[in-house]
Formats: sequence, structure tokens, C-alpha cells
Amino acid sequence: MGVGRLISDHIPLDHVDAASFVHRGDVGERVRLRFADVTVTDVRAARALTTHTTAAAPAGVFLVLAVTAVGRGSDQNYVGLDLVDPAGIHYVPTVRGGCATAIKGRAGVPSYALICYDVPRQALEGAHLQFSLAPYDNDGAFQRRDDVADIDLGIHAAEAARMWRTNDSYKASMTELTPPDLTPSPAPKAVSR
Amino acid sequence: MSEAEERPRGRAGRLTSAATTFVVKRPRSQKLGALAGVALLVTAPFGGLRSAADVPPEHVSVDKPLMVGPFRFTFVKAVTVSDLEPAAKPSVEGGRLFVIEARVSNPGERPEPVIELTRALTVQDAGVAPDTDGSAATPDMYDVDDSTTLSGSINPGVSYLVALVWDQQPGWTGDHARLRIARQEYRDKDPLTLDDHTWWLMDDALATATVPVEVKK
Repeated sequence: MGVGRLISDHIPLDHVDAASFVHRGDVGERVRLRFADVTVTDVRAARALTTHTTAAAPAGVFLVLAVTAVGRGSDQNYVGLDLVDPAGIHYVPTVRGGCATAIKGRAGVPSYALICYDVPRQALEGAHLQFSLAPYDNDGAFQRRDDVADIDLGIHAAEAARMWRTNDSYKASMTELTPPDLTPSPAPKAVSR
Repeated sequence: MSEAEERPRGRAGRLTSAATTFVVKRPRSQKLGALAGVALLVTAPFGGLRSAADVPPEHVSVDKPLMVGPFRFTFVKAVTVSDLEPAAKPSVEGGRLFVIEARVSNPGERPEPVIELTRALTVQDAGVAPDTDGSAATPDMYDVDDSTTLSGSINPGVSYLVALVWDQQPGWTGDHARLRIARQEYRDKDPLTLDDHTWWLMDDALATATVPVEVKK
């Protein structure tokens, strides 16, 4: 009884911590999570994304991330792929252009994906990728008490300015077993805004 | 002392007296509230309990942006076209596409699903067939600049010139159509579902307009 009273009096039993377990990293660094190891291998900006039939133009600029994920335990889709700016504003991958909006993870096998965001100028400098199993949605409720990788994309002011002026175009790629082709080419005139 | 005053009060009398004292001692605001309630009940047979008339919806104009749920929406023009290849083509032979061109942006601080715009937009007198369940058809949305489908979500701070596209039945010959934009209401907490921080589609209109329709071959 005494021990029980001690616990109930001195441990905040009405406090429930739902925060995610955040694992920080940088570009090129492998971040180990409960369900996968994830690495952002490259960060580019694009004025167009092309497939063999389409060419998409951004309303802002396309921020293009090459991401490698190696699944742990089982095959799962990684849906939480929010870009977050220093003000805490979230941006989701675009469905236009043919990049991945979720990464199909395979246990023990690397999955290579291009994740592309149509973002305004202010989203570039200081942006981070928040990678997780579940989507952030509006308040992170689906990610509570789960691992989240928070990866600094290393975009400083000068780099953000250069990215905003880009005229490069990249071939879009979804989840593949081989790394994406990141050879830039000039953006087609037809999609310039 | 009169005989009437000397007569002991019955139960009814005591109750009446207590009620009178209770009413007299109420503050003026409570008396006025009660009076308004009584007035409403008395006028109920004549419409006293009916809700006030809805505020007339705004008229859509070219230059005036409207907040449609989380999106800033500016009507540009309405056209009917034979197709919008490669983005869209009519589903039936001889049919056409009814298109609203508009500028759409997300001025908020989170990505917003495009369905929160498209579900609010319907057209009438435009030769557009209702959906299979009988409800008014809602449009598909395309980026005018590159003809890609705009689905999923629109990120904060970006703006698109969009084509909102409905299938149009063969034989429509009008030169005007009616656009209706349903009102949406933001719910920070929703006790009925697990979806907090969401926009709810309401029955009433935010805006309506009769718009001229440009016919393109």
C-alpha cells in the first residue's frame, strides 16, 4: 500500500507523452530507425520533371531529394515524407511529374526513390526532411511514439538562391531497385511559366 | 383590516405569491430574456421559431478572390472545348468539356487537399450530367501551364492557374452557365470523428454566379 501510494503521489500518472522519437541526421548520413535505415543521398532543384510522356512545371520550384531506404523486419511503405522549413511549415511531395509520394520499403534491400516537392522560395533555406512510417497529416498524431528521421538538407542562403534560379530538368523516378539518374538537362520551353 | 385580507391563503395563493416574488426579484436582463422567449413562443405559429433568412451568397467576379475553404480562388473565365488533350477528353462521343479557368493558391500554413476545392464547385445549365448517385458532378483539376493533373495536396505559398473540367453532354448550345460554390466550415475539434482540424462541406452556398461561356472549337 505504502509503495503504491508513493508511486501515485510522486509519478505524474495523468501525463501521457505522445512525442515521436526523433533521430537527426545530415545529407549522406545513414539514419537508423525502428523500421528502416534512411539516407538522403542528393538534393537538387528542378524547373521541370520529365517522364517519357509528360513534363511537369512547378508553381514555385521543384526540390528533388534522392532517398535510399533499407527496410528492417518487413516490407512496408514509408508515407511520412514531409519537407519542413525553419518556421515549422510542412510541405508534401507533389503527385505531378512522376516522382514517388511514398517509398516502397523492402526488408534488407535498398529502395531508391526521388521525392519531389513543389515549394515556394521561402521553403528552401534551412529545409529538413522528416521521414517516417506514417504521414504527419495535420498534427503528427499518426507518428506518435514512433521513430522519425529529421534530416537537415544543408540548404543555406546562397544555395537556396541558386536553386530558385535553376533551369535544370530531371527524369522523374519512383521507388526503384537502382539509384535514380540525376543527370540534369535544360528544362523544356513548353513547361516554363 | 378587511375580511379579504384576513382570509387565510390557500395553496394556490401561496404558490402565486411565491412566483410573483421570484419574478420581481429577477435582474432586468433575465426578465427581458424571458419576455423574448415568450414572444417567440407566441409568434411560433407565424414563423417566430424559423431561422433568420440566409445571407445572400457572394457573386463570383473575375477580379475578386474568394476563400473557398483553405484556398484562395479567383474565377478567370468559363469555356467549352471539344477536348483538352493530353490532359482530358470527353467521355462520350460528340460530348465536350466544360472548363472553368481559375487562379488557385494556398495562403495557409499547411498542405491542403485539392478535393477541398473541387468538392465545393458545381455548375448548372451547362449540359453537365449529374454523378451516378444523382448528386451534382464535381470537376477534375489540371494545371493549365503543363496539363498535369492537380490531385493530392497543394503546398502552402504556391499558386496555380487551373482548369476545372466537367464532362459536357452532346448538344449543349447555351452561352451562359451557373457556377455554385458551397461554403465550408473549419472544425478545430470534431467530436464525431477522429479528424480534427478539418474543413466541413456545408449545404449552403458561399457564392453563385451566372457566367458567360466562351465556345471554342
